[in-house]
Amino acid sequence: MPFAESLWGNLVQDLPLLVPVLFLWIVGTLMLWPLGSWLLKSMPKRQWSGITFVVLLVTLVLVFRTPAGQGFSGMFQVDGLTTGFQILAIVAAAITVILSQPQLNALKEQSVEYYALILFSTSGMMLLVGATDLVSLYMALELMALCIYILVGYLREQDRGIEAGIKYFLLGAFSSGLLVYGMSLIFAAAGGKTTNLAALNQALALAPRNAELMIFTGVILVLAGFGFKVAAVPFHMWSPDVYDGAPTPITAFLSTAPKAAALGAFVRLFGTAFNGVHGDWAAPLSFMAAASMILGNIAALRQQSMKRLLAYSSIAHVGYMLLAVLSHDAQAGAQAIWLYMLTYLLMQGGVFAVIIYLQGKGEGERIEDFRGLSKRRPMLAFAMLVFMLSLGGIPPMLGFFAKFYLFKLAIEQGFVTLTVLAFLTSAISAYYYLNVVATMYFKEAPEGEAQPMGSGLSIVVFATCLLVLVGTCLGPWLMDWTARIVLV
Amino acid sequence: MISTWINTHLLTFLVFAPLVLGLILLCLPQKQAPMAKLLGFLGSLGVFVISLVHFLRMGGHSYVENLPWMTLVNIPVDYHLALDGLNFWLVLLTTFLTPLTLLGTWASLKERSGLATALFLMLETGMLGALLAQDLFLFYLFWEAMLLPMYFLIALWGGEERRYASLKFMLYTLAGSLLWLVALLYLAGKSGSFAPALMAQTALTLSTGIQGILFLAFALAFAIKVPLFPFHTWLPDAHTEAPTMGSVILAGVLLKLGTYGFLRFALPIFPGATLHYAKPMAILAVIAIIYGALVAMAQKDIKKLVAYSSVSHMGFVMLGMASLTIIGTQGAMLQMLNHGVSTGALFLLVGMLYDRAHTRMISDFGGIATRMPVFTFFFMVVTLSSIGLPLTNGFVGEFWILNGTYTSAFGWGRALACIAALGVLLGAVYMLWMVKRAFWGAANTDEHSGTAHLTQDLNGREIAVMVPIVVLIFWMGLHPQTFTAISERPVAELMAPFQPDAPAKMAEVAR
Amino acid sequence: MPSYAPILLLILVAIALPVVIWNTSRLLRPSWPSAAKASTYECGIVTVSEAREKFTVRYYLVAVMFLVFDVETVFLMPWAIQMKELAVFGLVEIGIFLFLLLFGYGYIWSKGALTWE
Repeated sequence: MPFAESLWGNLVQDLPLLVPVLFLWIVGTLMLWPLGSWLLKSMPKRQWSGITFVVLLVTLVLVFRTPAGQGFSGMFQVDGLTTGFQILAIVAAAITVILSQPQLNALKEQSVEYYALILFSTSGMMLLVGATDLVSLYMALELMALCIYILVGYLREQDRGIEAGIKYFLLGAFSSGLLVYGMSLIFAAAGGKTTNLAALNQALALAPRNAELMIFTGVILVLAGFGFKVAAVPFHMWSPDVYDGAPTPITAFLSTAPKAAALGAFVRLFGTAFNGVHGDWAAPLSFMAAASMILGNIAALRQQSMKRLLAYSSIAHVGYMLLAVLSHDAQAGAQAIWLYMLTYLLMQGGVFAVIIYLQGKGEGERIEDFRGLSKRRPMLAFAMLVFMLSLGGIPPMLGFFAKFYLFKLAIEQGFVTLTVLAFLTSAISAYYYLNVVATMYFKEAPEGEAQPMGSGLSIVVFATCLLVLVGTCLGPWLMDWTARIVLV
Repeated sequence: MISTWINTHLLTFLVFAPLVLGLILLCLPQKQAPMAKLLGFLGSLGVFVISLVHFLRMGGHSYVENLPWMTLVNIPVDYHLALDGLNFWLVLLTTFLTPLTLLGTWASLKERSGLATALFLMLETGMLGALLAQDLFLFYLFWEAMLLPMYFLIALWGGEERRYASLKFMLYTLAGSLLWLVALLYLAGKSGSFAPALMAQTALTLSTGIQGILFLAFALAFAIKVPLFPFHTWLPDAHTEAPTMGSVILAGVLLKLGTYGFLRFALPIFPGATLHYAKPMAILAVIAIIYGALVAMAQKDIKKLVAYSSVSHMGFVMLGMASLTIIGTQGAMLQMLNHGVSTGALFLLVGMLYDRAHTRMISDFGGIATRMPVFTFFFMVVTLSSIGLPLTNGFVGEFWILNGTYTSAFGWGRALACIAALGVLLGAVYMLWMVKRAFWGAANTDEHSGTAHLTQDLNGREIAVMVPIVVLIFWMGLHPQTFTAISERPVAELMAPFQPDAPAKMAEVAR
Repeated sequence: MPSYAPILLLILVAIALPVVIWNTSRLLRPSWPSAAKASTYECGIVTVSEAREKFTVRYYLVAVMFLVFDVETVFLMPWAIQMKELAVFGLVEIGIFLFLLLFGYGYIWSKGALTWE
């Protein structure tokens, strides 16, 4: 039976590429049943966060040990980009898990499912960044998104939570539709023979002239689909409401992990498959980038709610990162995005840890709640200060170096106007970030006394703060060093 | 062992000693504020003494430290510090003003004064680093590193409108320097280096239009810092709201970094564009001179008046530079020092007055001279130096600048020199008028705002602060060669491409 | 594209047929409406409420679970057809698949989704 033999052979050969993902699936499944709902039912639910954290750490080790290679008939590939963005997704998930612990305790909403869903969606992201085929890409995207739909609407007793969940689900499903429609058009235009990204690149180059409109439409639809996923203007409308309504740790998750994964896939898809038709999508993508930077930053100026401010500012950050997607050099683009996302992840994780800590005290939702934080909780305020300055990209903070890499690439690639715009808008962003700093340091506190922080949260706050500070001091070296991970 | 290390790494020591000291002070508990102040003062004094001793011994050999530092996106960045004729006295001015300011504002800050001292020392690191850096990326890092401590000095210890003023200061400078960074990255990408010399070579190969745009991006960042009209609006706010400490160092050194940046980087990298934009720069400078003086005249707040006088004086520096003559640029160099000393001293004195009266409104004062004779003496000396009376430092600088502008090869030189000379006159008007209203005449006896109860004259500490400044004022006025000899050669080299006796070269550059 | 013509024709016929039939019968039949005739007819039993009613959420739960398991067993079909060629490999694969279904079943069971109370 040669057919079955060859299947066995392929499977044995390819399976090592998926070991981290398989590990997540198995553990996630076991967590749901029989452990979580049967054997260990009497175990306190909050201990699952610790277990999940350990699982993610193991996965991280597995990711580092995964060999590079291609498999599953060209559906999945492990290379620098895959490894790098898988690390981002896992780190983001790990931070989320630690943040979730106190928040869900406070809300009395602990459950195994919550943590299992985080694991499943992380596995989806890990597949997504390694997908080298339209089909596997779409499947991974859906796996990631479906889990997050549920997580966003997790607080089903609250109106805001339900609204966020429904909104995200409907718009997400709609954008998936656009994406899959665009993919099918591309598939057809390329001759209907392949969905493999590398093969598509060649097929599109050979496509007949009368297929141009079809290719263009397809690329634009795919662009729109990805635009929804990364919340780039004009496909961003869902993000402030969803960020606001979702449980705060999930907001942190949402603003980092799926964005990182989607941007990784974005770079791969547009850098390989659609590289030949750069002209088709360069202009729309430039528009998206510019609009995201402008609208994200300007809308953030007026926000009263901290979570909405972060939502809008994250739109702006995506705008900056789209500059790297535009790059003709996909490798350098992926590298710049990876670095930016890594630093963004640290800062965002820290900020959300601070917010969740304050939420535990019944505040932290509004910027006004940060009044006089420097008096009440000096260390916390200092950490927040570091994050805000770094997010604003104020030299010589870590965030500045990440921006530096990104904008350097953009200028080299000739997007001077866009880069000038990016710099100007990041000066705007300094305004609202500094406004938070000013609120913490220069406004009088209402009342209240200093209290010790929960251990998990303080670990996140101080670890990320420390990392940002270390990155600030050693920024350039560390960046060059870490960026090598993404290089194949 | 330490002394040998300092001998070989003097510049690194100078730049980072204040930072280390500042970090140590940060770790001290709040109760130890007097201790922190003392440590900060002694430490910065030590830095000043070491720099003075070493610099005076410098003789022929100059201090350079040049190490390959890192590769940033495939472009090498060097840790390149050097002391030369252009920055020699500015570095000394910085190390001189820092301990002086700390001593002068000893009693001004009531709250968290240890933290303020630490921030102030970090600011010194930023300024010294920016002055000494020869690599553009290094310069950029130090340049931006000055922002944060200054922001916090204004925002934490400032006056009523401190939030607004600190934010405005931050955003203005940030916006300018970010645009500059774009130009820097563009040029670095083209030349593969952050070294000014290599950049200059690359810049020559670019088209005139692009050179012009790049020059404007450089100029914008520097012009905001100077501040050149019309980018000056952050300055009065920042000065007025900042605590005395911040105002002194802002006027004394920070503003100089803008003009220094022009001299060090913008002019030599883009000689062609400089020639092209010399006229608009000179015109803006003259507008700044006249406008600053006129607005200063209308001020009711002494500190705001001094702030606007800064705009006017820095306009002179810009004018001297834009004349592109050796004498004008030498005048600009000297005027930078003058302004640092005189305006710094003015802010210190205003701060001393404010500490006593808790008001700065001119109308609240009157007849101070009879009650505070020592204070009035120092204030008069500094005022006269600020006006530019012969024998004081202000005169020489302004005279050279006007001389340079008048004799420059440009057609507009004479006209602008004449208008700018009007600025000198106006300077005398607003300063003396303010002095007349505040120091002479009858005391204001209003029970709310009046300051008739003000009798406490300067104490020993404050006199100790003012004496070195007064000595310096007369030294610079009587024997300016001490301060200009070292910059003669570098300035001559800098201006060589622009000299009319090198017409062929000029034509080549202009093309 | 002549090959699509029959499909188009089929669509047109499919749309036309109900329209024609319904309209024809409406034109031909006598029309004497009354209250009794307009009311809901349910095997002669007197109606008690509107047809649109809220169902308990358990119905949906059961429906969804039925759908999931029903559709997933469809995957057994291709395996059954190719069983000989796939041999042990296929057996292992389908074993994993069924095992996963089993896990899902165990999960909903232990969550109490199968108990009607």
